[in-house]
Amino acid sequence: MIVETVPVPVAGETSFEPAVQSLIQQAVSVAKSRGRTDIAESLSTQLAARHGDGATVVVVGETKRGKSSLLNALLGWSALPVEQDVATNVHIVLRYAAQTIALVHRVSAGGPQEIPLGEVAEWATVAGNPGNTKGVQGVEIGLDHPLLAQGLRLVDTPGVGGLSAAHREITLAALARADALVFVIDADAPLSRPEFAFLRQAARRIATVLFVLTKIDAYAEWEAILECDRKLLRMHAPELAPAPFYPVSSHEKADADASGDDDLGRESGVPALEAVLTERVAGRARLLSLANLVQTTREAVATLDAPERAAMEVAEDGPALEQALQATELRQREYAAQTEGWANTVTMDFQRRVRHPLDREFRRRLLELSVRYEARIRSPERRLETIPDDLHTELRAIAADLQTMLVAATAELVVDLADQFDLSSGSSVSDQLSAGGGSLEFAPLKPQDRQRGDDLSQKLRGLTLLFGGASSGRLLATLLPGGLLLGAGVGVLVGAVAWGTGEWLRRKLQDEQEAMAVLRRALDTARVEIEADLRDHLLDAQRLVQEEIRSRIEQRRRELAELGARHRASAQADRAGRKAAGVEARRRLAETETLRRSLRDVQVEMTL
Amino acid sequence: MSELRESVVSICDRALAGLEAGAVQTGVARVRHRLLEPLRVAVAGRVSAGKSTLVNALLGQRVAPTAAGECTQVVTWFRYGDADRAELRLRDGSTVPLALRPDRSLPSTLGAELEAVDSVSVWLSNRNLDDMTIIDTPGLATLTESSAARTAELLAVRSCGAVSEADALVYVITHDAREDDRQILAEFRSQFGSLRVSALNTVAVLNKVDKLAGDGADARDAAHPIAERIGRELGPTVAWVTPIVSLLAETTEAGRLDERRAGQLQMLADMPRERRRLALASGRRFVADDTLPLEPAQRRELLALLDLYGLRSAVSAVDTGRTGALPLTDELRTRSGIDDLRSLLMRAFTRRADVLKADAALSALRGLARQTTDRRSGQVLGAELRAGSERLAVLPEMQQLREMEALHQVASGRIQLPSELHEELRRMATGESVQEKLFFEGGAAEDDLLRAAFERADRWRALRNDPRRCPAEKRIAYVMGLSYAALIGELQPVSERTDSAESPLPLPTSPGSRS
Repeated sequence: MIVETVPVPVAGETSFEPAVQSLIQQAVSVAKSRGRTDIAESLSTQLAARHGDGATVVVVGETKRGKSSLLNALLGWSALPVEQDVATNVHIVLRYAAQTIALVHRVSAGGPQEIPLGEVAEWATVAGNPGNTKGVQGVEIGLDHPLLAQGLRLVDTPGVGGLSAAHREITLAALARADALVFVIDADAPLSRPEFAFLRQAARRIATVLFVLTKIDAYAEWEAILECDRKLLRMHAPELAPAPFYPVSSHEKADADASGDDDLGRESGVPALEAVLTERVAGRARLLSLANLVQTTREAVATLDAPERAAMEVAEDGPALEQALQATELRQREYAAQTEGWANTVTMDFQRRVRHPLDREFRRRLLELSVRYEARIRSPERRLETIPDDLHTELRAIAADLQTMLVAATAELVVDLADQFDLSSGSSVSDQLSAGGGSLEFAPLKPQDRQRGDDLSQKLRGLTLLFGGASSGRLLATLLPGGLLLGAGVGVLVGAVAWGTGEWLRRKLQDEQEAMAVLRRALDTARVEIEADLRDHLLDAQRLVQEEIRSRIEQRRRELAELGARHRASAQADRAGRKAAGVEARRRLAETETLRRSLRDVQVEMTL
Repeated sequence: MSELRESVVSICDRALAGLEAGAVQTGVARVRHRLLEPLRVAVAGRVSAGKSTLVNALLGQRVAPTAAGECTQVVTWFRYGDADRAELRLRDGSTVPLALRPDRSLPSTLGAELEAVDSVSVWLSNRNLDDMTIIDTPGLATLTESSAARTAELLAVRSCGAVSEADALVYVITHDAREDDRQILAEFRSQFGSLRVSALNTVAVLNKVDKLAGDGADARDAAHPIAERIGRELGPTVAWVTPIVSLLAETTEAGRLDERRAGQLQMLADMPRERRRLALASGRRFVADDTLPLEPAQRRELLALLDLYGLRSAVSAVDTGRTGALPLTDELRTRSGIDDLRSLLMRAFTRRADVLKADAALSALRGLARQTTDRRSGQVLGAELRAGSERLAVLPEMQQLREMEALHQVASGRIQLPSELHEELRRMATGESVQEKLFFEGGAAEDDLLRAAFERADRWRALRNDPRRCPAEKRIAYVMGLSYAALIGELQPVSERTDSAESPLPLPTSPGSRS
């Protein structure tokens, strides 16, 4: 049964959206009137691309803690398999779709394959797909539900404390690209050591963690357990102590939906969780992307102002003009010296800061994997039947983590290089020259105000702030094929690693020797496939960084040269002409000044 | 006492006669004493698994205090005694009497520093303790909220210590075997102590299965597939998994459902069904709903005794005409799963007490002989053990001991067997009928059984002749060969046996005796 939930109004997004839209439209028309169609187009494109924004929430917990029931309760829906012993064994991504659709992503098949919604259990559970012999990488379900329509993507994961360390690895890989972690525990027993081990690893990869305490209907003493969990967190994972807890009863919510009992619905605690997911997580993500767009627009407008400021300078008279000319020439020489040999710097830095750490990490992970699996194969609890699938999952996790690392390291490098070569679009040449730059005091939404830690999304946002959406988008699209746009969950889970013939994946293992052989095959595959993939990605990334830096340095040099030329030209031109140009420039600056002020105001409001 | 146990006692006696006073002698005396005691069964599990509640249910009286979260802090031994009494055993070896409360339950505080206490012993004139000593252990919190890490360590050491002093283990799991449970069991398995945890001496209890059931359904039905899966997953360590609702078991076994409470349940049952269902949808609702026919205190009491599942089961039992305290108690006790657990403990532990006792004692004696620094004592004990094992070898129960030893070897990971052969070994050691041991479900023709037995015996013989296999594996193959020979003997009527009928394994001289 599908029950409509009342969408919670999202203060941030809905109230700012129209104002921001109209400001960007203004900026687009100003850019057109100044002959900068490139800027106009870039802004329009980014505005149009906004509907794809959203937040990915990964739902994690030990087996039988009630994850799938919780998701069903959140969606007022009962399509996720929740029977007593039908544990989920692959990731399930729930996202918005106008028409209900279920897709299964498999290792062998070319693309996703559509399946009837009723058959999800056959692909995604231990009972329907034991040992994942069907080679399922992930199941994707599209639903028309208000919660998802807000831009939320929910990822249901196999239990972390269950059998498989492989599931833990791939879940961690997905977390690095998600916006929030919902950690599900129940009112039966306090948090355990394996749960803490996972949480501590997770906290390094994601800043927003919410705890959900399920089954409060079934345990009269749930408050004592909640208190105990809080104490344990303060003691063993203080960095997570401030994370909020949401006690819920999925059972009561289902009852309330069936009977229309609103009081029971509220008591179930599910609506409160729904509200926080839409407001705090989805709303926040949209607000943030909106704020980024405002920042990009402000920078674009500043770019439009640069020639006008220069025109004002050259409209000056006598000694002032002479001074400006000298300063420009000096800066030009300095900049040439500063950026001499840039290509070498980029190459060296890329090797040192991206390629080598990635190579090392790849080798380290493979070594760690082989040590861990050798030990497992020798232990009495080796569970031979799941070894091929687990190895496959672990390798996907390694590939995904390397990709994430590549993006983060490249983004960091680009930001630092831009700093080193004065390439930030916020600091245009003329601003540096005209001391103080007048009205361009920044009030950007600093990523670090938003969250603790330095997760991937923060680095990516830094990249966006720096280069604006269009060019960082191109960089990212190359580095993270499909991933970012599809949503973290699907991106990671449907890893794009080729597996040769993958024959070892389907082997039924009999004994230790066969298991060792499969382990060796898996490691060989990784060395061939992942390493080749990695090398391609590294080459692409390096080329992109190089191009990006080259074109920006050239542009900056050109700007400086043009400015010098104009100074020299106006030194020879007549006074009246200079005056007229100065007046026109002043008018244009006044025009953008209003726009900039409004942009800044809306930005300040958004950060409040 | 069986011949097997007597033989092990006589090994002790002979050794004691030859030993001089010292650590080895004390150790052997302790082993001997323990052999004559009832079977020691430890109840262990992670925090909040409901161990003490289960202990109370097994005792049939509410003796151990129970509460949410960390509660039991010391190891408690429940032994048979003519008069009910309790004492604290302190770490310095002294004992202090502990007063039981008027209802014969233990006080919730001990009146002594936790760190100074070694254990609590309780003697009860309780027929459930006739053939079993029960050891309740603190929850194996892999994490603890007690700020002193030392306390946590202490509790863990105490629990592991208590488990290693037991002959058999009841491991309590809730809902599903979690990562913690696996780690704890693995620790037990690798523990050096006389109890070597393996499938033969460990029963897992899947507790709180009531939380898995839907409205009105019997929780045990919902739990059986999970219990079966856990059995497969924990195969090397646990042979039997049985579902239980320990709270319901405690309440019914301790006779706490009296006529007054039965009357209250009757009043609840008399309400309109839909109203009743909503009131019992959650504990909060049930306590907070003041329009219900019972006083708030009565409702809280009922909830504490039965929980929602018990309440729902009770009202539907009333619907089918089971009114009054006795019929209700019977119905709820059946639903609690305690009857199944008792019969399982009877089959798995009590009936095999001799083998379990003998195994624990022999392993303790071998440990003493190996570990002592006193060379002479070690030699004396070693010689007695060797002489004794020859006498033991001819006893019929000896084959069970050999199977048990093989299973320990595999469970501890010292020997790797292909999983199919491992499962065969487990079946052979724990199966209760010829059919079960040969992987037949339900009835099977004798010929089929016989053929299957011969085929399986052949496989083990092949393994034994495989030059790539190590001696330890061959020893297991030898033991299995003997077991199949015994099975075939059981299946083949004596009259049909002829000299020409090929015995699957001409009983060779034991390669095991070399070790």
